[in-house]
Parts: sequence; C-alpha cells; structure tokens
Amino acid sequence: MLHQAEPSSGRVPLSPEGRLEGRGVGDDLIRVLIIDDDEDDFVLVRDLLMEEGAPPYAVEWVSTSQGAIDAIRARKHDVYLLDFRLGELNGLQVLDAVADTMDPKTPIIMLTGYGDRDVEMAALRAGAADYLPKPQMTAELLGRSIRHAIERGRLEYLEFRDQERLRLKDELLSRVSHELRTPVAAIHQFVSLVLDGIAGEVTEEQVRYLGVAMENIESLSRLINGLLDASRAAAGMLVAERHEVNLGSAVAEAKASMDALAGQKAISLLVDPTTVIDIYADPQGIQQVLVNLLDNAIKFTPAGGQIRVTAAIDGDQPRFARVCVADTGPGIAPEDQEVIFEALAQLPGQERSGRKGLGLGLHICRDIVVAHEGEIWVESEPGKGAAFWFTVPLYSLTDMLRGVAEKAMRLRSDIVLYSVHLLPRRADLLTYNRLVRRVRRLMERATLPDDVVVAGAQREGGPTSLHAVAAVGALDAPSVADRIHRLLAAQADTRACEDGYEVVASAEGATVGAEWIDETVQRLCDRIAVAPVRPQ
Amino acid sequence: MSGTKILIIDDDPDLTLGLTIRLKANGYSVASAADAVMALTRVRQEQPDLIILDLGLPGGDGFTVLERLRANLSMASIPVIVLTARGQQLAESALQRGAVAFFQKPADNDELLSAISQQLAPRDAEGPG
Repeated sequence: MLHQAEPSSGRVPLSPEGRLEGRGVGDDLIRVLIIDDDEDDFVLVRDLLMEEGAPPYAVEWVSTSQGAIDAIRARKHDVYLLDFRLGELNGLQVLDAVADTMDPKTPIIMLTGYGDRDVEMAALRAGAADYLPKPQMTAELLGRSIRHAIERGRLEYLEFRDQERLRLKDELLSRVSHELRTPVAAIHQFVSLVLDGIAGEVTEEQVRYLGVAMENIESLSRLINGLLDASRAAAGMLVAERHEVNLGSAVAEAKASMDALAGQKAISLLVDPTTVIDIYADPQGIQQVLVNLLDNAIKFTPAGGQIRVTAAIDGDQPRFARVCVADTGPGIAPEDQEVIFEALAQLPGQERSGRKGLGLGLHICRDIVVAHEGEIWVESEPGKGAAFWFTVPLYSLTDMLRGVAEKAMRLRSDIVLYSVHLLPRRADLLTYNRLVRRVRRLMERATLPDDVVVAGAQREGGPTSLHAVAAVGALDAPSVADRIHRLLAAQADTRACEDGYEVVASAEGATVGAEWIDETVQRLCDRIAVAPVRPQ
Repeated sequence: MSGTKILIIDDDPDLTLGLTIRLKANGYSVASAADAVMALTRVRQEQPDLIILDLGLPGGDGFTVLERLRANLSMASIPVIVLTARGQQLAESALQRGAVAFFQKPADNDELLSAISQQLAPRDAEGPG
C-alpha cells in the first residue's frame, strides 16, 4: 500500500465535476493524499487511516511543498491532509499558492504537531476545511474530519455550480437588456422631439399617432426591465435571504414607492391598518410582489378609482398571512384568471379581456410567492374590479428551531447558538442584512449548509441583535462556536466601525436528547428573545 | 441660460444627436465626446457647466471617467448626471462616486431637464465663482 506518488509535471486535466460530482460520504474509496516531509509522521497518519478503515482509503504521499501544490492543482484526490511544517514552504503558504483553485472548494485538512490558535484561524481563513493537532488525533477524529470535509466540499460544489449558472444567466440578460435599451432610447428621443414640436409644427393627427408610438415605446422599455426581474425571480434570487419581515412595514414601503404613480391618476391608495404580523420572507422579494401588484392595479384602475391593501392572518391556514390588493378596475374574465399569471406566451388571451400590457409583473409575483411556499390567485367579476390575493408563511421561530432540534437529535449532534449584538443607533437595515448574510455564510461553512436558522431580535427602532442556530453535524458545539466567533471577529476587526455592529461572544452549545426537544426549543427561544442589549 | 454648456459623453451617435437637439431646444449649448479617452480632453477644452455621462463607453468604464473627473481639481465641481442603458442597481455606486443624478435609458425628458436645471440653478444664483 505504501507508495510515494510524486505527480508528474504534466497536469491532469480533470474538471471539478469529474472530481466532485456524485462523490460523497458512502462512496467506496476515498483517495487521500498525505502531504508531510517527515516519513514517520506519514506512517503514523496512514496507520490511523488504516485503523479507521471504513470506508477504505487509498493513500498516497508527497513530501515536498511543490509536490503538494501540483497535486492539489491536479485535483486527483478526494481530500488532502496537509502538514503545517514542510520543507521550503509551510502549510499556510501552500494554501495560499493554491487559493485560486479553491473555488469550488478542495477539501484540505491542516495537520500540525502542536495546537496553535493563530495558525488554526489562519488555516481556516485560507480555506482549509479543518485543522487537527497531531498529538490529539485519533483514528475516529481523523475519519470524521475527512468525511465532514468531503461532504461539505460536495455541498459547496453543488451550491457553487448553481450560483454559477444563475450568475451566467443574469449576466446574459443584463447584456441583452442593455443592448435593447440603447436603440429604444434613441427611438424614444427622436419620437418625442417631433412630438414636442421641436422639429417644427405638428398637426393634431400627428400628435395622436406619435402619442401611440410613444406609449408603445414606454411599454417596451418596461418589458425590458421586467425581463431581468423575471429571470431573477425564476432563479430564486428573490427568496435567497429569508428572515423575519414585518408585513405592515413592507406594505407601507411599497405604498410609499407607488404613491406618486397613483397620484398621477388621482387614484386613492389605501392601506388598512393591520396588527403586527411578522412573515418569513426575503424582504426584497416580498417588496417586489407588493410593488408589482400595486403597479398592476394602478395600470387598470380608471382615474379617480381606489386601491385597497389589506393583510391578516389567513383564516384557513393559521401559519400563513394573507394579503389582498383590491382595485376598482374593469375586472378579469373568469377564463383569463388563470392565465394572467403565466409569462409572455399568454398575452393574446389577456388582450381579449381588455387587460393588455399584463406581461411579466404578475408572473414574477407568482414565481416569488410560490418560492416562498405561498399561493397567489385573483378573485374578480368583470366590471367589478379585481382582488389579487397571496399568502406567505408567518415567521415562526419555534417551528424553525424545532426543525433544528429534531435534526440534531437524529444525528446525535450538538446545537450551536451564536449571537451578535448590534450597536442600536447605527444598525440600519442595510447593515443588518449584510450581517445576516455574513453570519449565515460563516455558520454554513462551519455546520451543514442547509441547516441554519438566522433570527433577529427586533426592538423599537429596528433590529438589535442577531442569532444563528444550527445542528453542528460531526463537530462539537464549543469548537464550532469558537471558530465562527473568531472568523467573524477577524472580519469585523476592520469593518466593525463602518458597519455599526459589535461582536459579543455568546456562543453556546447544547446536546439534545429525544425527550428534551420541547425544552431545547423553549430554551433557544428564550435566549433569542431576551438576548441582552449592550448599552452603547 | 444660453451661455450654459452641457457636455454629453456617450458612444451612441443617434442618442447623442437626439439629446443634443433636445438640449439646444431648451437653450443650452452642447458639446459631445464619444469615448472615455476623449472625455477628459473635451472637458478641459469645453469647460462645461454640466456633464451627462454614459457608463458603458469604449476605451474605459464610465465609472473611471467619473473618478478621474472627481480627482481633478478644476473639474471636480462640475455636476455629472449619469444616463445609462445599464441596470438601475448601478445607481448607488454612481451616486457614491460623485454623480448628482442617475437616469436609466430611455429617460423621461422632463425629468432629465428638471434635474439639469436643478443642478444649474444654484450656480446661476451665485454668479460666476
């Protein structure tokens, strides 16, 4: 079994897909490359792997840093065990040298002869999946670390591939809409030059004709804008960051942005006062739904009409909120009530009902609402206005925490709770959202990616603290908490001031026994709800 | 107002022509530049009171032009209005880099003209300085 495998100088053109796709814990053979300049240490690590035994490992060894760099770049192995002490370069420098190939992530575990916090953090920041001090290393620990690194690498790869696909699509559509807007802008300018009499006197008839051209140019440019929105909604980009959103504030914000448009047609835009309802939604996504529905209602409501927005807990499904945007427009024929949510292909059907121009707006609404696990529909009788309804899940911390607790119990895993406190006066919503993303990402790196609950404690005047809860998988809670804290603090060092938040160490772990689920959920809820706010 | 000069920096000749006619009809005198390399030279030559800047330019990004303008003492005070076919999401970074307004093409002429006169109004009131 012992053979030294120095990779040849020719690199193996193995794609990331060839390496990672379909590769996960449970596959037959795990190809391990041990990178160590000391043969005794190599033998020690190899023997631990042999002892661990299942799944079987195919072990290779390189002893030089250049050999390591070449091998990692070639990506022929499932996991790399990288010793900190190498000949000419140390392990961190090796990580640095391969950093450009680390996306999607290559599972590299850093081994060292001694425990050093600074090296540990530097290694994790440089992209190592884990860090193990050799003196404390057991066969079990090593095996677990390897499985964890591979599984996380696989999930990250899948995520990376999805993101990449979305990014390309987004970029393509950005370019297409840019290319379309330029000629539309030129047509717009020249038609309006004639229309405004700048090119000489225009007859009444000419004004009428050019007016029609102008309306169509404007609707074309709205369609171009919608194209990009539609692709983002379909790609799930408008449900990417779901957290606690106050429905009343969201409605008020949408109303504020549409008031001017409604005012132009002397339409009164009314919002019924609602009790406090918190929904579990992407704030940008939900804003888009509300704005599109209002835009649609304004478009079809005659001058002097009325649009009314109401929101309440859904009587039929108590875990959902139900929002209604009702207008006094011409209404929608029954046969068209289904198709109006379809994309452009359905336009001819809508023209029959006299609601031309319904293009992507409602389609985008449906994509977003469905991605939020809600429903959207319209109730209308021709001539009596239309009422658009949609449902969106209520924010229930208890339900989400229960999910984590149950998972932790199944995996016999610890739960980690990580809290960040915000400086009250400086924590605007933008800062908060950025912090939510950052904490979520760090949690996802340290635990299993699909298993993170991020909750904000809201006080008057905005969010004051942020809590992330997750089952930690193979690792133990204290070390995960510690790791997240150090990573966040390292990032926060340079950004704390401008971002207006402060990292307060209050990570804690818990192990969940079957009989303790309710109690655990309750305790986590309490911790999150009563998290102390530090005076500034 | 007839002495007020606006420089259009845009690579689309049709758009530049249309906008020039529109601005002249509103009493402004107009000059133009079609790429990023020429832009600064034209600013120096023409000494405009206001600049309308496209972001997608040959020879360099519109943002680069914006930054160079801001870095140059004699040009830093000229208000820049961004008029671009690119996405609305760039508005924030354009404003951060010193643009006074952001319009997506096709822009509403009335809104554009009112943004222009708003920028020029305080200057007229203060006189040359």
